[in-house]
Amino acid sequence: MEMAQELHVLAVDDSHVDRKVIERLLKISCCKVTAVESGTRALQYLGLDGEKSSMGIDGLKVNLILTDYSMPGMTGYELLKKIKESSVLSKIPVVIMSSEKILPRIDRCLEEGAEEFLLKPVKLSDVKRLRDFILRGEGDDNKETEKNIKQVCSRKRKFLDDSTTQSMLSAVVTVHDIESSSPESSASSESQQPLSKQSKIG
Amino acid sequence: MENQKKRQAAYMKRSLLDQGYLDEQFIHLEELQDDANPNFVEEVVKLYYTDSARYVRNIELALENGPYDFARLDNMMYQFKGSSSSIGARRVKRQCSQFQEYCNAKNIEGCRNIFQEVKQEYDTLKTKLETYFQTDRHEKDARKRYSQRAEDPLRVCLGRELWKDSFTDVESKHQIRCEQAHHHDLPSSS
Repeated sequence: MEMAQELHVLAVDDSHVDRKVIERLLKISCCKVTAVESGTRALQYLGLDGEKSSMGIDGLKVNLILTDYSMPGMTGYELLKKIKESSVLSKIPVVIMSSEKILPRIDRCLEEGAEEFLLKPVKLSDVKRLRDFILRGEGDDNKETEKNIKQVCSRKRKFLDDSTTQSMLSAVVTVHDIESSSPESSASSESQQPLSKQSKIG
Repeated sequence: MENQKKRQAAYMKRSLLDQGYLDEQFIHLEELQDDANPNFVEEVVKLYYTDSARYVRNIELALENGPYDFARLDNMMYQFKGSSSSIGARRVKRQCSQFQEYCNAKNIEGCRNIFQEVKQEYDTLKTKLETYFQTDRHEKDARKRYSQRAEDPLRVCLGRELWKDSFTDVESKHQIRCEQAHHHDLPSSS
């Protein structure tokens, strides 16, 4: 599989403000961004019939879909389902964002195939970590490209303080967390388990 | 001298954080700024106020007459709260949560009352942020002009004059004149 120089992320969010912020976060993390305001638009961009293999209508391969959960019309969950149901698009990792930490919701999304569930507001450390995760998954034979992207990116943003990394541990929930927390404590539980390192992309 | 002006915007921001108008999300947004995008946060905040005006308006209309659709009210508030959270508007966000509680309790009077608080916090924050951004931009421009003048010896004199005029407080001007007198043997006039 050909690896693009930069990851191309399709960001889906009905909030104009959030789109602007996520776009900035992704650009700083050296990702190409296409931001759309709905699940419908996202599917249109990806090609509803999934003919082109995970390419946007402008021919750019999409490496990651980052979508808000609560959107009018099609929710992020519904978008996730449609993508996973498509033989062509299902390979694209999907990450769900939400300002609400509702464990059954998170559970459902992860079960449906979402890679991760991020709590809003999304931080730079979350995005960087996602980028690295996707880069690793895009192909073991592309370690050189992954290293290059990281080097170029860190040179560009040398002045950014990397001490924001700590915050990621409290904002990310994975399957590991679901399995280890009980339903009763879901509403009030604020503590998070460290990010488990299991790779989901083969 | 330079530090005094530099402190003004930083002081304002510290104050907004300490008083709970803003939370750390605002700081995270500022960290996304660089030379190529020096006014990113101001752009986001402007977008927030433009975009959320319709939520405020729609909620206001929905609160006017019955029958009251609490689910719809809650949904609109959820979206408004989300945007508020994205810019770090802590007090606004808190009032939004209170509003949602009244929605859940189907308490229309409670909703109406708390919505006044929401609007008040929303408007207060707007004014405070406008002042902050103006001060911050002013400081950034001054620093830029100063460094540009310092780099180009031919323009130093012209630059210094313009730079002096950009500061309005007497103390700064006095300090600048003292510095000049000390370094360049110019008359230290008052």
